[in-house]
Amino acid sequence: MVIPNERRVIRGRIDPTRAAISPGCLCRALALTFALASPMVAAQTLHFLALSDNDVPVADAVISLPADQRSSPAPAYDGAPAIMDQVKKQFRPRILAVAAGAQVAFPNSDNVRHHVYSFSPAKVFELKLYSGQPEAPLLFQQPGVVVLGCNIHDSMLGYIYVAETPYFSQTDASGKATLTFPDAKPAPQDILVWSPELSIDSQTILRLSLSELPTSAADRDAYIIRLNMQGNGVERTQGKSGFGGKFRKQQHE
Amino acid sequence: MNSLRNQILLLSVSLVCVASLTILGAYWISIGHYTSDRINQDFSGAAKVFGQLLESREVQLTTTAEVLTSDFGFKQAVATRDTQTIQSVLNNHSERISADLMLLLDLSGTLQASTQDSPSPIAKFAHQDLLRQALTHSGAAAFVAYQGELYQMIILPVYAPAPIGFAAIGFRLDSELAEELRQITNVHISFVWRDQGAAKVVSTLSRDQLEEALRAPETIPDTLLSLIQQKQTFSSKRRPLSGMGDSAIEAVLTVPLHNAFAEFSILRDRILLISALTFLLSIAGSMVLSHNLTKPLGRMVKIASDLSRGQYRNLTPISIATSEIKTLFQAFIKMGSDIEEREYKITYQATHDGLTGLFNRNKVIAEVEDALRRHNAPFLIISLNINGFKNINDTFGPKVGDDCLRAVGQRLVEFIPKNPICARLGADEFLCLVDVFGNENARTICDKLLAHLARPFKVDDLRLALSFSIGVAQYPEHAAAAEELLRRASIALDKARSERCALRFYESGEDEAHLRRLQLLQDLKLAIAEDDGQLCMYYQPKMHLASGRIDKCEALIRWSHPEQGFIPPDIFVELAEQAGLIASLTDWVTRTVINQVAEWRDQGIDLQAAINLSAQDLERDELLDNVLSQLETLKLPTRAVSFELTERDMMSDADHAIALMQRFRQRGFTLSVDDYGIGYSSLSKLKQMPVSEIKIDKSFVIPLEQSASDKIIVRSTIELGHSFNLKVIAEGVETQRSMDLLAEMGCDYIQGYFLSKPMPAKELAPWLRQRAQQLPTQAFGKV
Repeated sequence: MVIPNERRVIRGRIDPTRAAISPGCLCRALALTFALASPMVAAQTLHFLALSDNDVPVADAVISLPADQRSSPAPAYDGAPAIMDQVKKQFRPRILAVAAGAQVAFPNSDNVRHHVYSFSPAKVFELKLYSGQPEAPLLFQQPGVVVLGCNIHDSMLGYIYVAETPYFSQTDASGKATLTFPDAKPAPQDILVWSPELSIDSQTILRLSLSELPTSAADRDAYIIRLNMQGNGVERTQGKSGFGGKFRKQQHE
Repeated sequence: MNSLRNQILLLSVSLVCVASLTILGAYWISIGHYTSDRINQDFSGAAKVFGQLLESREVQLTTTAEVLTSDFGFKQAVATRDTQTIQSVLNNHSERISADLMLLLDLSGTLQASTQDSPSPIAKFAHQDLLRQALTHSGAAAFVAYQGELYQMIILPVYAPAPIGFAAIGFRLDSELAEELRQITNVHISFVWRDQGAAKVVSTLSRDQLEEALRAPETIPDTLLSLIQQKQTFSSKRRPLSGMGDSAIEAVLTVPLHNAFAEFSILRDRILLISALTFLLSIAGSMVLSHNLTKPLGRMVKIASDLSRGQYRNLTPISIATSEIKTLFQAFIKMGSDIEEREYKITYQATHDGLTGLFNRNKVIAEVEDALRRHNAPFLIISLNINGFKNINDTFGPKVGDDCLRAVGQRLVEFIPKNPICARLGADEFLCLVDVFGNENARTICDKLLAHLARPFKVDDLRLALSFSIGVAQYPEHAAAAEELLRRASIALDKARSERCALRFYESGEDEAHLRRLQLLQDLKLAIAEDDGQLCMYYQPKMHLASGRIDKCEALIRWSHPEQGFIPPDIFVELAEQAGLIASLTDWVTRTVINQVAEWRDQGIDLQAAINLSAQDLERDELLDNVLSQLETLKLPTRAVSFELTERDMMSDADHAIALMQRFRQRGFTLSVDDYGIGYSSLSKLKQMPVSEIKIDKSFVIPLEQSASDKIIVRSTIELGHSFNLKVIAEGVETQRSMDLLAEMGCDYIQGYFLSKPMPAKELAPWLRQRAQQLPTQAFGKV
């Protein structure tokens, strides 16, 4: 039995016809990128520009290296737990990206109680009604997308992206992201891109081949990622029927 | 058929018919529109209500479903991805909200679990568009045909908190629900859809109605007529519930029209009933009305015929009548009384004397007849007249005369104690009926009457004493019939007058004589008119004593009646005088005599013929004119004829007679006084008379030989005549001796049997010739 909302890594879903830049340009951009890589830091930096179908920059998209693309095993996570706060009945940040094995704390900054839960396959948990700091941060070992909700406040929606590697980056408001990772041989060919809006259940992760991505010469040869935002415009209006009156409309036609 | 009653009936009945039909027609039209409009309104109202019901149901179901899908336990169970768990959750939750169907779909629309046995293990939900709509609008509602059933389906995404699948919650649209909706909307409801090519229906209509109802047009005929013509029993509105997919689902709202129009049928029947009642009422009403009109009219006809028969009183009053009829009846009453009054006047005038107010002749005859019929008691019919009434009129004027007549009438009425039957028959002739009671003597009664009338009459400040002549006929002695009694009284009165006595009773036979005289008069009138030889003239010669010549003769009329033979002249002449026939008789005589004289002249005989006149002839101017013109025609001198008038006629009104006789003399005619000596003439009058000759009556001449006194009378008369310068002629000379005496007395002419009897004209000439031969020696004789 296939559960549709499990984590999916889908390869190469960019529609080539929608790419504005030719493959020839792409090669040149890659070459240029590698040429610009700093010899001092044994690391590689890639620039990305995430755009939606209609050329609107996509913020909070997480771009990460797949585990099979890294040169060395990832270091064990030893840092302080990441924070997924709840402020004014909203998760903050809305999208939290962590590396697999990271700890995430769920403090409650509101003066009401929350009941944070996730039914996502990557991490199923339930933090029953609590206020303030829960007992302990939660460990997110399995890479994937964890959709967070609050059983009390249905409008609360948050995401924790558990990346396979510690090398990930989130696009800013202008859709730009910079991915830095240790130099590796051979150089990584694919990247993972995720945004909640990529699918209805937000579980879809794109695996893109860098060689197929167009680059933008004007913007430090950044790879342009065009995202087909399926979940765009999906809004939840809790407690109220948003689709009533259909029959009435027909009557009036 | 043409009677008033039928016409009223026809009018009212046809009015009711027209009114009823018009109302029915107008009602038919308007009720058709009204009903049609009302059904339309009801229908669209019902459709609206239906829509709102489904909508509110949808909202209600959605809310219920949302509560379900928001349930954490539900979400948790779905998230377990354990088929058994999910199945049990669906069953549990569907029961919780009484859903008929509950499905769980993944985001691709693949069936994950169902409260019903799934047709295939992995089935795609047919309505992907609904799922998309559910995602974008956080839910979707639609009518969906599923597994051969129709559902109102609510599809909600299951958020965890991102959508992880869809819960589809279906509520079956079955006949139970349709019936509920029907009870609310009051229209029949059918849900129609196709499922795998087969038509499916859920309906409140019965199976046999269904097919026709579903085919019925949406429009409602706006007139009943077209409804009937089209035989449309339903009207249906189709409302698509879902246009999605291959299964078009429709809600069909159906109104059975016969129900709606059934009210019209009831109303129509009522109107027809009311019309029929009105019809009957109008018949009854118009019959009453016509009865009220025609019955009085019939009575009026009866009254009119009563009036025409002369019954003016006690007319049957009309009980049931309108004011017009009453007015008409009053007019009839008035007409009746007016006619009665006028008729009374006319009758009065026809039966009464206008002057005195007494009965007239006709009426009194009827009254006497009435009296005869009434009783057998004896009574008198008294006929009376005023003596010398003409003098009163002449002296005091006609007004006094009239007043006098009135007073006499009044006096007569007073004389008769009760129920006086008095009449005025002619100018001054009255008649009354007086009863004879017991042993009363008729003569005594009449004397009493005369005494009663003898008192002077007071007329216009005049006191007039009148004298009366009374003729009496007695019942039953004199006659038994009214007319006879009256005639006999009248005869008695005539006798009284002619005999100059105040009272005269009828004597037996007088009436017969009277009647004979009347007959004779009639015959005489005929004889004059016919001139057939019954009347003829005889001539008696007169001899001039001194010369012995025959130069005059007297013309005497003779009547030889065809049945009665010779009628004495004094009888029929008097009759003619009385009957006013004398003028024509005299005219006949003068005409005949003058012709005869002319004839003699032709024969060489010169004779002056004397024609007897009566007093009435003197009055006639035209007599002399006629004589003169005839003489002129025959070229005769005036001395060819002369005229004789009896002394009595002259002297009865001497002055008047003198004036009239003057005219004869003026025209050159000679007049003789006939029958002189017996007529009471005064010498003074005689002196004034314009006569040229007197004829001594034969009563003196015939006994002349024997009577010395007659000799003296004759002699003195002759001398008197001569002294007045009148010729004297003696008639009735029958002997030689008498002639000799007369000759010696100096008489001028003689006439008599000694000379000759009167003879017809044709004998006179031979007589004259024979006499001339017998007396040739007579020196004085001249033929």
